[in-house]
Amino acid sequence: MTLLDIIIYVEFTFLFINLFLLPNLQPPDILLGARVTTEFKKNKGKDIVNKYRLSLIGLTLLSLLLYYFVSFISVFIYVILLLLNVVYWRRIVIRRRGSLPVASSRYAVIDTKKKESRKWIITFIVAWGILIFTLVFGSLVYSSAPKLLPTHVGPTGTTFLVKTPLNFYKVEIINTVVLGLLTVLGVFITRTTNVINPAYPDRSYYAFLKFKEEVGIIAGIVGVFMSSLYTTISLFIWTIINLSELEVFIIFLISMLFTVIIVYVLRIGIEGARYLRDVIANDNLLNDDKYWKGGIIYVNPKDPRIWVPKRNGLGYTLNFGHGISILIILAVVFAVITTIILVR
Amino acid sequence: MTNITIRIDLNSKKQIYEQIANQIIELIAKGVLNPGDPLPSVREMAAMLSVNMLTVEKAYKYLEGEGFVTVYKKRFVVKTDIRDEKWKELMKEAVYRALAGGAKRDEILFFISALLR
Repeated sequence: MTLLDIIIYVEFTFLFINLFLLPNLQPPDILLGARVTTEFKKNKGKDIVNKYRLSLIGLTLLSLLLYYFVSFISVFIYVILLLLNVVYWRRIVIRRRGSLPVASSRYAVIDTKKKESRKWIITFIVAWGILIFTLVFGSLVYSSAPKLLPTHVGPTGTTFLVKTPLNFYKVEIINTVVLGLLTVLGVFITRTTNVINPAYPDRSYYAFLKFKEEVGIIAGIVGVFMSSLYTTISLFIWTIINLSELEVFIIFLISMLFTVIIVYVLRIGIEGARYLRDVIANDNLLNDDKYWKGGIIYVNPKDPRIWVPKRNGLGYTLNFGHGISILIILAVVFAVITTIILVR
Repeated sequence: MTNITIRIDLNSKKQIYEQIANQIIELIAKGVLNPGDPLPSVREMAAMLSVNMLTVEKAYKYLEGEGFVTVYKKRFVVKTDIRDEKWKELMKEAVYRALAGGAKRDEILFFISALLR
């Protein structure tokens, strides 16, 4: 078995599990990317889900056979078949779901015991604390630092800069700007007003509260690691630590940061079924089936949101009805093309 | 966790601000909202209900005028000493309406005692 084989089998398994669990990961009022009533999902919907899963297993076995006997091109065919499978069963759901209730009610939740969670502030305090500590420490060692500060290490050797307050605190100034931006982001996120899903008002209310808190905390944790990283670089510039120690510190911090982010993303991803995705408004103004082309592509010029939660699968997708998302796509295409040209 | 849901009906003939105000009064009457409990901010409530902020403002102002809520630390909170004498008038109107509509005396009494239970 070659490495390619292993990669492809892992890919097959990943896709299979993802699509097999798809109906479980969707909110109570969405089935395979189409709006349904909760009763439909509990009764008739189950048959459709079973058939969908059977066809998924059939397609997977077929693709595995093709892969084994024909060529690895069948992987692409497999991916396309899986997408078409979801699109097909979505159409069946739409055909059989019957009439949907017209949303004429709107809800609000009064939370008298509302305690705005302050957990996320602690992470930011730690981040700013590290920055302030480094600044104080820097002012203490300023006089003992050498006249030429090592600022950049490259293949041609180390570049030095003359010691001036600006050069001395350069990295910390960048740190302040980055941390400031992160703090603004954290405050902005935790201050956004709640979105209520009329299908299950109070659950979606608490889901959104929880979500805001989680995002605030992760922004703070990123801030702590950024501060530590900049502090380490500053310590190197101030010749407190040498190059090999700097490398160890940087590798340690970056790997820690990645671990924490992966753990958090997985957590939000797994809990996403309960929290993140529950806040999609089951609203015929913003979230009607007609705006979802095949349940995959979202085009709604009336929706002010640029990123919307996907209906099929985890994560977010662009609202192609929004001018800015076209710009985002163009920017990505432009970046890819320029990279290819530059590398050649 | 306390969860108190307010529901407005967009198809109803009743104005939205009235619906909001009446439901808050109902929650106070049932003891779900206690004196001193804060109401959501105008902005928050408007966002949750997807209605104009002025509508919510109107509902809150109405409640303030009727003496059910008051402003404390820039927030609308449920008043501790609610004195509302308007209920007698409203009740009189309602009872006359019921009698004119052919409701029996016992029926009206039974309905009122069921509400008070």
